[in-house]
Formats: sequence, C-alpha cells, structure tokens
Amino acid sequence: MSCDFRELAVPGIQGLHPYLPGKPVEELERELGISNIVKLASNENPRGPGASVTRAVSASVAGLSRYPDSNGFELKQALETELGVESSRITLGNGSNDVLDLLGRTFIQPGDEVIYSEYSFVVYALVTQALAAKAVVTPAKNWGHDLDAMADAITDRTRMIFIANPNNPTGTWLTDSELQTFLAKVPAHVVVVLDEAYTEYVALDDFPNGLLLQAQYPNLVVTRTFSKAYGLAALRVGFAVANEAITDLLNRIRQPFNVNSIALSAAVAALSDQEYLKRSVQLNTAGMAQLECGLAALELEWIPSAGNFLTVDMKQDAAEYYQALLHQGVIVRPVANYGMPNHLRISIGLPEENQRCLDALAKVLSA
Amino acid sequence: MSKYWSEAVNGLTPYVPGEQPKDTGITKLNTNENPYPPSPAAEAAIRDFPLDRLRLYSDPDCAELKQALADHFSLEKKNVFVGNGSDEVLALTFMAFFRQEHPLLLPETTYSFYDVYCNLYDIEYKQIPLCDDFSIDLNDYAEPNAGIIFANPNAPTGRALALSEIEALLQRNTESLVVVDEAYVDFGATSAVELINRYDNVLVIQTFSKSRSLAGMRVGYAVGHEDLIAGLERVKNSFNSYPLDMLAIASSVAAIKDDAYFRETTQKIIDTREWTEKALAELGFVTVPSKTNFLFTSHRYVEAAELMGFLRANKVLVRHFSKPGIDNHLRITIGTPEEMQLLVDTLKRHPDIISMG
Repeated sequence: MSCDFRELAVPGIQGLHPYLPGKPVEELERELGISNIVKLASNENPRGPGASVTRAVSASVAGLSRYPDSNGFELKQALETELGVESSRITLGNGSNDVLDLLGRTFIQPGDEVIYSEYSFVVYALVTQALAAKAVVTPAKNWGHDLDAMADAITDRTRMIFIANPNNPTGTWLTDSELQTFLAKVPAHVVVVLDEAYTEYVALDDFPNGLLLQAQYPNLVVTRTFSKAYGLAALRVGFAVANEAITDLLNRIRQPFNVNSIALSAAVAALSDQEYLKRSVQLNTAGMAQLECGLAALELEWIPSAGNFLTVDMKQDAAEYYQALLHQGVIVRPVANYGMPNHLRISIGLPEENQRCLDALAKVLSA
Repeated sequence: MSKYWSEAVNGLTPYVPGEQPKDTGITKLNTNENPYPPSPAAEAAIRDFPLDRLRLYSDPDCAELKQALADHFSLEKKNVFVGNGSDEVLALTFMAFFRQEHPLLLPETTYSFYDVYCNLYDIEYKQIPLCDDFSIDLNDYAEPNAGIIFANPNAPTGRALALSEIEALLQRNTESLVVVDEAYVDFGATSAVELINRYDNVLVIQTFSKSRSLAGMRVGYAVGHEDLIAGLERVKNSFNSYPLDMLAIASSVAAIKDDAYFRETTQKIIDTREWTEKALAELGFVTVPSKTNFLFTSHRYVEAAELMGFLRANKVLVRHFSKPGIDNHLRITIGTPEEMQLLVDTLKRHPDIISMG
C-alpha cells in the first residue's frame, strides 16, 4: 500500500521535535559498560520515599483488577486538608506535564498567541507548537522571566501565558510583589499558567504562594507535582488548581483514569508525611550550599537558583564537558536545546553524589 | 466561562465511567473488570519492587515492557507502542492519524470513547449502523475515509468478527489506517496481530485492564508497522513524555510473561460466561453471542431499565445504556461463578420473571 502516514499527521504534529528527557542510568551503563553512576540530570529527589508511601504501595496491590477512582476522591481530600484548596478546584494529572497539556488543549486554538519566556520549561513550547498556536517568546532578563516584557506582549489574540516559578532550567524566581504587579495587568481573557513544580524547595521571603493568588485571580491556574520534593517521579502524579469553571473544563478532557490506583494511594501517603518533605528541603538547601561552595572553588559561575538544581556556566560549549562527565560516571543535563549551549544543569543530590560531581568537574576542567 | 473554551471543548460530552461504589456489599458487574486478581507474579513485581527507585523518572521509552510485548507476539520492539491505558493509546491514535479530509468511519454502536475523541480532537466522523443482529458488516465501510476504527469483539454488544473479514477489509481499504481495538479479544475472538506483518496500515490496540486483571495500573498498547508506531511515539513525546510509571511497567511485564495464569483465568471466565448465558436463557433473556467478558442481553418481556433498577436495589450493579437502539439491553460483566449465581438468583426474584416461571 502507498500510504505515507507522516504526511497524514496533522500540521502541528509534523513539525514537532520530541522532548528529550535526561539520560537514564541504565542506558549509560549499557553504553559505557560502567556502574556506580550518579544521575544529577532530571531534578529528581535524591531520597527514596518514606515508610508511609512504602506501606501505601503494598496495601494497594490488592484491588488492581479494579479501575482506579476516576475522581481521585481521597487524594483531592488530602490536598484539601494539606494545602487548603477545595476539591472542586483541583484537577489531577499524570504528572504536571499532563495538566499542562490539558490546559493547552482546553484553551488554545490554532493561530492563538501563547506567551512564554526564553529559557523556560520546554513543554510550553511543545504544547504551543503541537496545537499550531503562535509562540510569543519574550527575551529573558538575568536568565529569568521579564514580566514587563511579557505584559507588553499581550494582544487580543493572546490566550495563554506560561510562567514557571522557580523556573526550570535556570532556577530563577519571581517575588510575590513582582508576580502580583504582573497579574494585575493581565486581561481576564488570558489564562496565566503558573508552574510551581519546584515551589516546595523555596524558603525565601516575599516568595509567592500560587494557591493563595489563585483565589484572587480567576484567570490564574497553578500546577504542581509529586515528582520533585515529594519524591514520586516514577509514579506520575501532578495537579492543577484553578477556579471551578476551569477545573470543570479540564476534567472534561482529561483521561478518566489518568492517574493509576497505586499512584493515587502513594500520593495521599506522601502528603501525609510532611516530615519527609521537610527533610527533602533541608537536604536540598544543604546540597545547594555544598555545590555552590565547590563550584566557587573551581572558579565556575552559576545562575542563582531557588530550585533543586544549579545551572552552571562552563564559559564555552558545554557539550564536551557533558560527555567527559558521562565518562566519569556523572550524568548532568546539557541545556543547549534551551539556547544555553555553554551551560550545564546539575540536580542537587545526596552529599556524596554532589561531591562525586564536583570531583568529576575538577577532573574534566583540568584535563 | 465560555470565553475560555476552545471550540472542541465546547461541544464535548465527556465519557462517563461506570459507577465505583464504596459499599463493599455490592456486586459489581458493570465495568467489565476481571473478577480474578492479577497474576501472582505481577503482584510480586510490585511488592518486591525496590521502592527507593520511585524518586526517579521511569524509562520514557518503556523499553522493558515493549520488549516483553514484542517477545510475546514474536514481533520487534519497533512494532510496539505502550501507553497509560488503551484509552490513552486510542487518544494518541486519533490525534496522530484521523484528522483528514475525509471522515473517520466507525460503527454506530461501539466503544463510546471513539466519538468523544472525535469531538475532542476535531475529527470528522461517520457512524455506520450495525446489522439487525448487532454484528458489524465491514462491507459497509466502503467510502473514502480518514481511517476505520472498530472494536473486535465489539462493545457493548460482545460480537466478534472473523479474521478473514478483517483481512478482506485490509485488501479493499488500502489508502487509510484501520484500527482494531481488541480490548476483549482474549475471551474467545481471534486477534488481528498476525496481520501486521503483511499490512502496513493496520494498528491493533490491546489492554492489560481486562484479561490481565490490571485495570488499576493503566497499561495499554498498540502493535503495528514501525512507521505507525513512530508516528504514535512522536505525538506521545510531544505531550506527555512519561506516561507509564515504574510499577505499571514492572507489573505488566510480569503479567504478560505468566501465560499459564492468563490461560487459566480467561478460561474460567469463558466457562462462567457460557453458564450464565444458559441460566439467563432459562429466565427468558435473549443474549447476543459473546466473545468477551460480558453479556449483552435483553429480556423478552421486562424492560432493561426496569431490570437494572431492580438489580441495583438488590445491590447488583450492571450497565444500561440509554442510547436508542440498545436501550432495552443490559451489559452484564462476567464475574466469579458465585457472583453470577447471585445475579441469576436475584433476577429470579423479580415479580415479572417469577410469574413467567
């Protein structure tokens, strides 16, 4: 038969370049034939889950022949208790990536304008392109969002604005006053998506809590995830907090069973263990100081970060350093695809992992 | 809030899943779940999983699961696509292939997700009526099309097509994609998987939710020509690049390898289905011949809606669709022999059924 399915794909899909996730440990082990690899490439939590999660997983094994609760009742209740957000404002997703995708598909039509910043999370660009919308990319200011430029970019055709706080891959952040000044300028027909994947790590004064702002700004949607500070990246759970009307829409188009039974139970257990969260944040703060100290000793510069990672300026094309670090058994993340060819993003790991990374950096810099 | 809606969302009627009651005294024969637990190997794969690894993202390529499925079907990994339930695999299939100049052709009565997806993804479609006996006649799918999709066996009717009928369609319909949704195929129908080596325009979609008892884990897959799989990968990676979690991968790999348990449990369900069909016939039901884990059945005298309400009042849940043409049928999931005995005993207490006896 003569059918070319590449031609059949809808226009937005034909032009897509798929997202490239961080290299998995197993892949590098296969490629280089080495073990004891340190992966600091995907901003994962260096600590395994707490005992409450372990118990929840074991308990969920009975009952897997049944479909999951498509409304995620118990998890929404737990979120309501822990974060003070009503269930009617929560949409659960298969990771926050899923809710970002749902938001795009709910609101964006071909030709609409979508604003996001240079050096912001790549999924915003992917969603925009997949939906054949027009990307309006505002230049970054000090590697972060230039909110004045973003406000100036709004037109009648603007449908959605993506903001990450803290931002990935740069770690930059916006203060509460900066963000509120911006939100006050955004017309009601524009949906602002505030991606707070890393928010649990931030302990800065004047740092905004999107969940509180959402109650004030009806066109604001906040997304969060269990993949980072809660340590459940493998289980794919994220959520959006929005007004009730938007929540109703998102729930119309999501897959009815987008979060599986074990993931639902594990997320409830993770939420109940705020001690785990506290320790994860402490570990991150200490690891950040350790890395900063080590990088300074190597005379490297980095972008000040509020996340669980540091993005380091290698002062020249970083691709070679990335490869050299791989051969030292350390996986970090090249960010050339973000237009940052000289930078490498390093996730903060356990103290010994951070040290391995610093030692490897010292080695490849002196080579 | 309509100012926020994209046109597709505006017209959308969401899929309504079957009820999931909290009351444990209820017999659930309404969502076509498997009454038997997953393979002990699948349960062990979760219990013994090194949970420390849950902090890490899962393998975005799901290589281990794809390879296990490829081995199972004697195919290559490049012929296999996996997703978060066959519902997601279907969604990505619709997004990737069906928005074309001509309409997608699908049966008028079939899995209700298909027209939900058409509306959601702005896909033009044409519904082809079933025959009077609820069978699909693929000769009716003869006009220019963006693709053809049908469930085999069909839902909620339970009827299956012969492999020769599907192959004949592929010989006629050479310019567009044919998708065979085989969610229920393991309960007695013949799979079209063997056709994918000979036809590059057929995609076969299956699930772990039914015959593998893993509805809670959300694992589905498609097999087809590598170009079709590459198209699905492209769409998947452009939206949600980590759809399958580690425990879903681990448990489904274990399940697909446990052939003995699979054969034992599917055979038990087939045997129970045959018993139930006979018992229902004795009560005055007429049942469509089923190759699935459910029966699509209608009583000679008592209306389906009335029977559903009666069963519900007696803590037995079955599915009833209000759609014209099938609104006098019940869809009854095959449970354990004990559950089906309870169903039959309950029906025998209905006043109009008693009076027949």
